[in-house]
Amino acid sequence: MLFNSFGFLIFFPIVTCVYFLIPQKLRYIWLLAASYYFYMCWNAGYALLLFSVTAVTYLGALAMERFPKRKLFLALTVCINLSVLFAFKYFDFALSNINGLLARFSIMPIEPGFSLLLPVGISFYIFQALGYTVDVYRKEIYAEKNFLRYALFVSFFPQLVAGPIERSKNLLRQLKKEQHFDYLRMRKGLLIMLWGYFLKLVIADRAAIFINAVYEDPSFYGGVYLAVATLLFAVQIYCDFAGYSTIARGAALVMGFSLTENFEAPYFAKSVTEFWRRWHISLSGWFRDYLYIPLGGNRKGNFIKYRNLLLVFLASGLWHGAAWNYVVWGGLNGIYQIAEGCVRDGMAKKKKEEIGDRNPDKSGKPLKAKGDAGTVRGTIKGMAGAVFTFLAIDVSWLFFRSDGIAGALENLKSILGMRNFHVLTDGGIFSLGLNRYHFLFLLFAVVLLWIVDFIRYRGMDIFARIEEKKVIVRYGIYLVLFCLVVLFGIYGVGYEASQFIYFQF
Amino acid sequence: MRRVSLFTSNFRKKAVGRALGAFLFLCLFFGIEKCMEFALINDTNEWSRAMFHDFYTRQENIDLLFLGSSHVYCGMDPAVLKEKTGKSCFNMATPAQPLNGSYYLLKEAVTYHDVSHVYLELYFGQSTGEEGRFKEAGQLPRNWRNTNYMKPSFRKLSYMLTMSDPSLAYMTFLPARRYTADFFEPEKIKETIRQKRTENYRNYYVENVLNGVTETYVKDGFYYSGHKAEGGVLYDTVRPEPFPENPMTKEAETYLRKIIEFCQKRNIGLTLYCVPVTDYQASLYGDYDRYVSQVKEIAKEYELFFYDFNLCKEGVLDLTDDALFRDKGHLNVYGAEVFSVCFAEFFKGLEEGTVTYEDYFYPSYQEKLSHSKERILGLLVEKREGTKGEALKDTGGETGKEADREAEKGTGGETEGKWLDYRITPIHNLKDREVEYLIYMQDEQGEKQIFADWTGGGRDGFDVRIPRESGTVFIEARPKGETETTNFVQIAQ
Repeated sequence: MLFNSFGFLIFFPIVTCVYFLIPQKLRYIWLLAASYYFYMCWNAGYALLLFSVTAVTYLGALAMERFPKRKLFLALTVCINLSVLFAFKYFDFALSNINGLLARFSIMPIEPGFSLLLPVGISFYIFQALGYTVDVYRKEIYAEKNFLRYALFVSFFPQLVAGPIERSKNLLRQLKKEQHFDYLRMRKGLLIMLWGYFLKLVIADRAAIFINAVYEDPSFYGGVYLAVATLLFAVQIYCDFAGYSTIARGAALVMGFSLTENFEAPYFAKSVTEFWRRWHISLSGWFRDYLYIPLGGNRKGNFIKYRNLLLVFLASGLWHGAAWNYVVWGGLNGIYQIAEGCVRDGMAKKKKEEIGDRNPDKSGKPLKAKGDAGTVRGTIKGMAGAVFTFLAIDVSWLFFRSDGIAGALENLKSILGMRNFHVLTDGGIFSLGLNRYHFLFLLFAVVLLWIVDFIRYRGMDIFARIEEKKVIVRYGIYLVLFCLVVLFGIYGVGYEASQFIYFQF
Repeated sequence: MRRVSLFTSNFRKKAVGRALGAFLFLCLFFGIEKCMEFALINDTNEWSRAMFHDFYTRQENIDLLFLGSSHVYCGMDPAVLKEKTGKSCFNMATPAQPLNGSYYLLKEAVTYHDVSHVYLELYFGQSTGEEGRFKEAGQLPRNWRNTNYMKPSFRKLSYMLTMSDPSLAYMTFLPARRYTADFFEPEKIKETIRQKRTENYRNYYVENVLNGVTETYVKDGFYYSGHKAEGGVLYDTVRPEPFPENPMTKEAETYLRKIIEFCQKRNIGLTLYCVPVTDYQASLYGDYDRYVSQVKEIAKEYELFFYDFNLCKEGVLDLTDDALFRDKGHLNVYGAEVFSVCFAEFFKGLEEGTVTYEDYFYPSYQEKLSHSKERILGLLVEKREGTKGEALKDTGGETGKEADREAEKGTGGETEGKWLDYRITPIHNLKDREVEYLIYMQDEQGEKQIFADWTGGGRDGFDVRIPRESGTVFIEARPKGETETTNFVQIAQ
């Protein structure tokens, strides 16, 4: 069931109303049933897989608490879950690579004789369940004894298929608490949901009209078309994914649960490193806590730090999709950060040498930036950093969106060639589903997004601020957003209810 | 935890405030939506708008109510009917009115008027095939033509809620959503607003110009069209799906039964009938009798009868002259007069016992065709795709032979290449005679290329290969032995 489907518009209010009407002790069971129903709307068979992952991690965690061989049970649980992930997500990819190798030696390819469908959201809930297992192993939390409650933690419908990947310390704890209906909280939750729908239906799906048309045949369009489509893709993927996370956060809040903020104005980041602190925060945090730090993090010198960084981002690429272009995308982001780290280290060293004896702090702590903030120079530097970061990230998105590595390189070459500038002036750019005024409308929506993101970048909780405003202002904002989504959203007949991009991961 | 009581005055005050806020919010939202509707929906020539205005402002009671599709408002002249029956008549017919539409319009009519008799027209086009599945997205505009202009009521709400799958309801309740793409066409919006500010629009004047002939909404739901279906309009380029057994869809049947039961419950007289179309159209779908027998069976269950005027004997209603039709499916003002007189006289005679069903109708459509005078009813001209390398029959003349040679070589004879292949199927009721054709193409300079010079033969079809060039293709057909063209088609390539 998609958040942008008619079914969800019926499902969500019913689930919420019943949730608040039934006794507290039954509520988590009701939510569990609703979550499984939500998941089974895609394919009833998927529920079996979700249940298996839940059962394995639940028993694994209990065993770790009860028996002395904790490491063995951890390894077993992780292996089983990763095997499931491999079988459903990476088997075909691995096999096609093996067959490619065999073909080089003129050996007959291997025919698996079966085909597995990739279950929606498998990477998300397996990672969430694995995170819980590791937390229990590390004794950061106790294993959950109530199977149904734990099953709800793994399958909680707002974040089940595209995150945020919740930590047990956050969500599981909340699932144990009593929840009461709170009008103000519900209102804020609905506002957040509305903003999520705005991101998805007004911006992402509108941009998709142009992007899909160009990327359907990139060699035909090429040049400026591709450049504009790739720039727009950065906006689309952000609004699509952040849209989902925002709707999930709002829906959970209506029911009284606070989910992790998954995006914090990522395109205002002044470096790729900062970008990854703001983009898909729950996944970055997961990789940091369960892969980067166990690998040694940044405690064992620069070489190990950069190696770990690269490994984490290659893994992140592979997590996103079983194809080499995702691996390259991840690798590219890792390389960006290594390059940034090298430059930062070099500059810090140079600065240290320059200030030398005058620096009273000899403890080896990183040197603080010298008062650029708030100055014109600082602002320009910040803006240049943000633009440069956006462009670097956008180049990596090219690998994400293109058809294979060769396709991405071809597209990059075509963009750099910029052969058809005239389409910007002769109206050619407006012939791919979005006319001049439609484009302007999209631009207006993106500007609105940028303003909101800028406010959030400055550390303000814009939704809380809106809730504090006078009733006229507040309702005015609700009305504008509601009209934009309901009257101008891309949905319904003529447009397929488009799936969220991150569902495939 | 502090428990909230529904009975504390503070809670009630807050709840009332919030409910009022929500109501105001919705009012503002729908206000904005209405403004968008005004700017986006160009209904300056919308027939239903004029008809509903006439209906709601009408002072005189409606005695005889006619429900149905455009066939009714083109073919039933309320003035003639009133003159013949002495009763006030009204055509509550809308374009392509589906049977659920008829059901809710009937309810609307009996709310405002004391209707004594309902004549429900059952044109097969509204209740069979794709159009019979009127709850699907593509068919919704047929119902929106009604809901757009009906006054707010629970009847209307019920109509809107049941007319489609719930996932499509947003378009029913938010008409502006149907046209949001037009929001980005400022010129179109300007033109719509301009047209809506004219006197004609304010006065509900509806006008349509067809081939230079003006058609207008007159009164009592009658559409005045003086256009004559002459000059090669009786043809199609796509072969429709032939009627299966019981062609009426489940949805249509359900609403037909609902209408019958509604009338019977309220003691309102009901007559099921069908306004005649050209014989070409009735024959185009294959066995028309399949439809007639299904409706007759349903009617019989309720002790009703289905009077299909397509089965009418030429002696009482002669519509073999195409000039009585506006197009292949609709009567024009001349045809409407002829038909309305026949209609009124038949039912009057039936009531008085001076005529019987058999006096007016054949038992089946096949029987009617076999008794009617022999003629080509119309032509089906299909462009044949994917005929690469396929040699056609000898089309006669040098051009045909050349085409064959090229087709055999597989060089230029394919559809994607220099030639276009057409299959011409005559729809006729000829007994033994064959059909012959004159086929030529005329370019802008008036140069003619002839592909068939009163040749062809056969009764079932004729293939012709025509060069893929710009120009107009003229197809004339006649039964062998005739000296004059009986059918004429003109297609721009």
